[in-house]
Amino acid sequence: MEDARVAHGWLLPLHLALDEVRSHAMRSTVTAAAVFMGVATLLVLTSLSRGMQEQNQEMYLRMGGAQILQVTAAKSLDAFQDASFARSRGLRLSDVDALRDRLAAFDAWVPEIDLDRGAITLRGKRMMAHGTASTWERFDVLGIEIDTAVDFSESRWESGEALAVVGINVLERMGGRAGGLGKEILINGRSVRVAAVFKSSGKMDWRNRDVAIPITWYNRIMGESDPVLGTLRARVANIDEVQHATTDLKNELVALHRGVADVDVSDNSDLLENSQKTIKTMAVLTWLIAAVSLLSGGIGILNVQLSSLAARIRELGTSRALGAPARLVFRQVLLESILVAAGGGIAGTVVGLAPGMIPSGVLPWNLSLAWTDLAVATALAFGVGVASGIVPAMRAKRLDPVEAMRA
Amino acid sequence: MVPGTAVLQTFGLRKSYQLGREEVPVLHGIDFLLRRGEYGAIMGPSGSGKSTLLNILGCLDRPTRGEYHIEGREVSRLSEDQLADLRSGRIGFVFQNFQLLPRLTLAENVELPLRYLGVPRQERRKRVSEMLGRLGLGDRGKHLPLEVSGGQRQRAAIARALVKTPAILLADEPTGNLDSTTTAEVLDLFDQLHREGNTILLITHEAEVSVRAQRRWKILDGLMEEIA
Repeated sequence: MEDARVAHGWLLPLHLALDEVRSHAMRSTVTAAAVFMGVATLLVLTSLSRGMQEQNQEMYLRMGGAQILQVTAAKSLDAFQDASFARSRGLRLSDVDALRDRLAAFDAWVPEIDLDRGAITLRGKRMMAHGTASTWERFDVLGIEIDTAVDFSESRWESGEALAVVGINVLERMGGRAGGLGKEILINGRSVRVAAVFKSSGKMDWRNRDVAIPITWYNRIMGESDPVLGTLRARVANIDEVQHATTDLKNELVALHRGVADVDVSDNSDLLENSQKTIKTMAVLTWLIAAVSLLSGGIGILNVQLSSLAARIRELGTSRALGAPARLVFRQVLLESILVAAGGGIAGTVVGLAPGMIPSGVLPWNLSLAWTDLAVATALAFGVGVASGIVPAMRAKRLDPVEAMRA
Repeated sequence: MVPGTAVLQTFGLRKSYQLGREEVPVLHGIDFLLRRGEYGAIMGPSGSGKSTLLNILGCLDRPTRGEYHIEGREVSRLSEDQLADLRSGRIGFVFQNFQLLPRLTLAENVELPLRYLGVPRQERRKRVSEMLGRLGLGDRGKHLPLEVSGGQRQRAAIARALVKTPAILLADEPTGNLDSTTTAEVLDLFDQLHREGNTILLITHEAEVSVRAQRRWKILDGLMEEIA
């Protein structure tokens, strides 16, 4: 008697599974929908959070990374502190010169004065913009890039000319590039020529609503020789000295302020950390949404496969009677689940990748995907297929052909 | 295989089922021999044990005791996979209600056992086409089972059983769902297959069907004897 044993491998079960999935195209599509949603959601939200993360990182580096320290007025917590703070004259422009002389570890100092709300007006109307008076050095230290400029230079800025650099949102309010550049806005009722426009990295770039003016001009019109600063930024020359430099800066400020610690010194990493925390929270939510979608997808496939198994129990029994080995039926049923899940996964991946094709600047945030994201999404879809197919496949494998044909 | 040698042979075949604590015997020691080229029929009423016997002979079930040989090989202790291989290669089944897969065409149904056997596609197509032509279904290959008559469905089921050139054609009440004209047609076909040298074993409860066979057995209450 010849031995009829044939090593079927996975090819025949794959063909049979494909036939089954194709012959129930509508059912397969509906079943795959939840996996599709899960994978698409995962990729779109992951690309969004990754894009935000990269954008934040880029902004952080552009702002000098960990080497930039920010000095701001501390908030008083109680009456005792109120009394203590009253002894100090606060953070002032004159502190910059004193600190520059005493602290050699720093190579750049950027004093900033925040303009009052409503200080910037156009044709009698208050503009929704954030104004800062500062030095020319601020552009370099914070990595601020200029997009377009007319009659704009360091000497004009430092000599205290009445000029301003504005963000694109402010420029648009003035009538766009053609209408705004070279025209005037009012700051504290004084005319200032818009000499340049900030380069924008996208709709969410905080500089879009910014207006920068020379601190020398501002002090002159305000009649202040030693104004109170909103922020003082200081750049540490060597990154290895940040920790020491921070301590020295704090100590010097306390000394300058008559022994009162009325300022906070922080670095940009605090900002980055906060923003990364938000993004991480978003990533966790993304995974939760995707997990719920994929779980419901898996349950859907399991349910459909179990019903389908019951509906074609006679067919499977006949196949077994005709000589289909149990492992072939097992593989066929398992592959059906995997094919449905993979179909949903592929469609989800295509849709998940689509937003990445949108040119940068159209969306508020850049979108970015890594190959690992695609690999994870593919593995998840495959995993859902395997997890939801294993129980029906085991049941199909254990079918008694005689009983199944009688069903 | 040499004509006249044993294709199916049983020695003291017994089968019983466990019903709670009680053991219910169904077959009480059956000795049976069918040689190559023979056309046999086992006849018996409902509950006589004939379906149980067919399931064992078709390697769909195992005996509780006794031996069962197919083409000289003891098969009653083979594993599930080995039994599946035997069914796939050596046994051609014809069922009462055809058991054609409804979503496959007649040609695809006939092709199925060859796919299980790993026959290459070209060869499969050739053998399916030949078999359908031989059974008068040459122009029905692309039809679904529901689109053809009962007789044509049963012929397709016979084609599916024969396409792999099995050692034995096992038919379980092959005319049970057919009208008298189609029954005669199918029995004529079995006669023709027998003349062509096929070994056939038919299980039926109808005497007029069994008389067409060359050898006949009667099974009653799990005991079987040959009718002279």
